[in-house]
Amino acid sequence: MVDRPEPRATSALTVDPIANQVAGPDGGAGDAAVAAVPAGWQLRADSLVVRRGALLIASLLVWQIAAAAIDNEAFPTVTHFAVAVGEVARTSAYWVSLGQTLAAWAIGLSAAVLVGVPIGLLIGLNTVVDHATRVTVAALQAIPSIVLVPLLVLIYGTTLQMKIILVFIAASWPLLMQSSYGAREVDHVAKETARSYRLTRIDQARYLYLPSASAFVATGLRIAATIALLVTIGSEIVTSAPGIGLQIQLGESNGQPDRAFVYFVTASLLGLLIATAFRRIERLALFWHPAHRARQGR
Amino acid sequence: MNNALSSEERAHLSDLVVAPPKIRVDGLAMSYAARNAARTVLENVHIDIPARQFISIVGHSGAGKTTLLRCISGLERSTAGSVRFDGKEISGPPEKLALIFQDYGRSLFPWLRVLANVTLPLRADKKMTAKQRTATAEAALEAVGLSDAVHQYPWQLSGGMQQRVAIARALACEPEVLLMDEPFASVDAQTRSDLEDLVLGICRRYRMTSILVTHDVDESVYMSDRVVVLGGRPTSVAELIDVDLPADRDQVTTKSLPEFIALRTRVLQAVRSVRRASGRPDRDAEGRRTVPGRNGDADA
Amino acid sequence: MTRKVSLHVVEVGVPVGLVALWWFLSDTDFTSYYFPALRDIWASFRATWLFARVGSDVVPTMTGICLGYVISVVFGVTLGVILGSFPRLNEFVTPLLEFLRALPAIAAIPIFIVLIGVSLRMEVAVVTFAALWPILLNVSDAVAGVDPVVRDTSRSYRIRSFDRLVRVTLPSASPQIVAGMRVALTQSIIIIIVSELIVSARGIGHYIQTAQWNFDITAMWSGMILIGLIGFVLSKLFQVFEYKVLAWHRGLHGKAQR
Repeated sequence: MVDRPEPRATSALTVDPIANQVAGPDGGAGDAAVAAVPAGWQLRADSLVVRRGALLIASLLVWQIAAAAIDNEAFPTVTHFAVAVGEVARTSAYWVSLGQTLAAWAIGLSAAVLVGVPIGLLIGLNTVVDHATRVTVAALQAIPSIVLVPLLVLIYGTTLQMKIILVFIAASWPLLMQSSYGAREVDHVAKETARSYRLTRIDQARYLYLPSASAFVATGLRIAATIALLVTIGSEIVTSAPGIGLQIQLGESNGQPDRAFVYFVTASLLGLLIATAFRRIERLALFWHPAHRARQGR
Repeated sequence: MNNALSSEERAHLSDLVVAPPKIRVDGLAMSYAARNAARTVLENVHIDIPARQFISIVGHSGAGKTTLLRCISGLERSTAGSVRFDGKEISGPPEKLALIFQDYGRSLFPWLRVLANVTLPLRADKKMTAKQRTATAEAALEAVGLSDAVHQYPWQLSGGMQQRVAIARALACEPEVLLMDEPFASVDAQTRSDLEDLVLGICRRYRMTSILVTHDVDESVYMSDRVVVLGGRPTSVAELIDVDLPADRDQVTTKSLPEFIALRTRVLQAVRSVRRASGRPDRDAEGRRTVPGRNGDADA
Repeated sequence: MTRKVSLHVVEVGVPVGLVALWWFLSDTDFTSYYFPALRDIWASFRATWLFARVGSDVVPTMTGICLGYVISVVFGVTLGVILGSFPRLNEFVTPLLEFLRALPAIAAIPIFIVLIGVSLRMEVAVVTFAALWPILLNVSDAVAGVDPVVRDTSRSYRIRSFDRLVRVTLPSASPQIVAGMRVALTQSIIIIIVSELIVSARGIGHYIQTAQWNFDITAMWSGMILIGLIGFVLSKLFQVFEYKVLAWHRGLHGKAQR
C-alpha cells in the first residue's frame, strides 16, 4: 500500500478535518487579506468547538435511535453502553488485556523499526540491492500477514511471542517501503546542489538524506503503527490469544455482548489515539515538504 | 480623483440614448465579510460599454480587477449595484458570454482531448446534434490555427497553443461578449503578441463586445478602444481613457506611433497617481512593484 | 553487458534463484516441520486448487470479496458525490466519518457475527463496513475540493448538471477515487480471510483454519500461497484498470515534472 507524502491525489487518505476548515472569500481579489481576528475568544455559531459538539450530540442520537431500532444486545444503546463501561472499567481484566495488546503492539513495532528501516534505506540507496529485492519484496508484501496466524500459532502457541512476531512481520513492510522511498526520492536538484557545493558525505547524510528519509520514515511509522494494532487485535480474535480481541470474542460467546462492545470501542479509541499521535509526529517531520506545506496553507 | 459620472447624470444620459449599452455596470460594490470586519474591495463602479467595443481594465495588483471581471461574468454576485446585459440584470453566468481564464492549464480539462474540450460547452445547447457540435468546434479550432491538434490532450501542447484552445472553446459558443482575465500573463512575450493579434482579429470578425483585464499597460492600449483605470481605496473607476488609434492595429507600426506612446504614458501615470493618492507605495513590503514598471509590466 | 541489462538480470534472477534454492534445499535434510519441502507444497497445491476445491472454497471467498467490494464502491462513490456537493455538510460530517473509518473492522467481526449470523450476508456486511470509508472519504474530499478554476470554467460555460457530474466532477476527482478504491480492495481481501478464519463453513480462510486443526502444514502453506496469488492477481487487475482510467493524469503530471 503506497502512502507517500504526495500532493492531493492520495493525501486524502489522511484527510485532516482541521485542515479542511478554510476561512475567507472564494476567489476574491488579489491580496484581499482577512481582517485581524479580535483578541479574546468568542463562542460563535460556526466555531470549531460548537460544530464538533453538535456533531457529537447528533452522532449519539443517531446511535441511540439505530441501536433501539435494531434491538440486539450486540449493538447496545448509548445508555446500556454507558452502564457497561462502568462495569467493565472496574474489572482488572480490562486493564490487563489492554496491557497485553499494547505490549505486543509496542514490542513488535519497535522490532519492525529496527529491522525494516535500515533494510529499506539500504534498498533505496543501492540500486543493485533494490533490483535484487524488488520482486521478492513485492510478492511477500502482497500476502496479508494475518494469513500467517494459523502457522504462527502452530509454532508458538497463543502467546505474546506469537503476537510479537506477527506484528513484526506485518509492520516491517510499510517501514521498509517508506524508508526505501525516502532514500530514493531525495529531490535530485537538492542532491546536485549539495554536490556542487562539495558537501562531505557526512554533511550530505545529515542535511539532505536524513531529513528527507525521516519524513518518509515518519509516514511509514504511522502506517505501521496502525497496521500493528489491527494485526494484534486480529490475531487475538482469531486465535483467542490474551488481549482486547480475546475479550471481544469472550464477551460475545459468554452472552455479554455489551461488554464485548465496550472492548470494541476501546480498540477503536486506541486506534484513533495511535493514529493521531503518529500523524502529529509525521507532520513534525514533514513540515518542510511542499505538498504538506500547500495543504497547511489551504 | 473619480471622474466617473454619478448615477443621476448617468440616468440622464441614458435617456438620450436609444438602446441600452451592451454592458452596463451600475454602482457596483463588492465587500467581503471577514471575521469581524467587512473589507470593501470595490465601490461605486460605473462602466458603460457599447456593443462591439473593446475595453481594457488596468490597475495595480490587488485593486480588484479580477473581482470586477468575475462580477461582470456572473460568477460572483456583487454586494451592491448591478450588472446589466442589454438592459437586463444578470444573476449568474449569462448566455452568449464567454470567459477566458489566465490559468489555461487548469481551465482546460486535462482528461478531455482538445476537441472534447471545445465541444463540451456546446452540449448545453440541446438544439445541436453531435455532428453539429463537432463541426462548430472544428471550425473554431481552425480559426485559431489548431486544426492539427484536434485529437491531442491539452497538456501535450505548448502554453500558447493551450490558450488558443481556450480561445477556440470560447469562440465555439458564438458569444456576444468576451471576457478575458489576464489571458496572456502565463505565456512568453513572443507568443503573447501573436495571441494579442489573434484575439483582436477574432473580436473584430465576430463583432464581439470585449473586456480585457491586464496588468500590461502596453497591451491595454494596443488592444482596446478604451482603457478603464481602476484605483483608489476602495477601488472604483479612477479614469477612463479613450484610445484614439487607427482601428488597424499592428505590433510594430502602431506601437511606434507617438499617439500610442502618449496614451500608454497617460495610462501609466494614471495608474501610478491613483496608487500614490490612495496611500499605497509603489513597492510592496517585499520590494516587488505594485505599479506597472518601465516595461509596462506591473510585476517587473 | 550493460549496466541496465545486468540490473534486469539481477531483478529476475534473485527471486528465481530463491525459489530454486527452496526447491532443492527441501529435497535435502534442511526441511523443518513448519517449512516443508516446496515439492510437497506444490503437490498439495495442485491437488487442492487445480481445480478440486475451487468451487467449494475459492468461489465463496471470491464472491464475498467481489460483492463486498462492489457494494462499497457503489455506495462509497454515490454517497461521496452527494456529500462532496455540499461542502459545509461535508465539513460538518467528516470528523464522524474519519472516526468510523478508524474503527477496526477486524475487531467488529465477532459483533457482526452475533448481529447477522454466520452467512454470506455477514461477510459482505463486514467487508462493506471496512471498505466503504476509504472510498467515501476520498470521494467526498475530491468532489468538495475540485479545482476552483475547473469549477469556475464549468459555471461560466453553463455546463449542465449531468454533464458536469460525469464529464467534469468525476474525472477531476478520479485520481483520489482510484486511490481510495485501491485501499478498499486490500481491505476487502484481508477482512474476508479473517472472517473465514474466525468462523465459517467454507472458503479459503476456513480451509487454512481446518488444516491448522489437523496439523496439515502443507495444506496450510498451499492455502497461504493461494491467497497471496489471489491478492497479487487482483492488484495487477486493479493496476490495469488504474492505468486506463488515469492515463490522462499520468500524462499531465509527467509533463509537469519537466
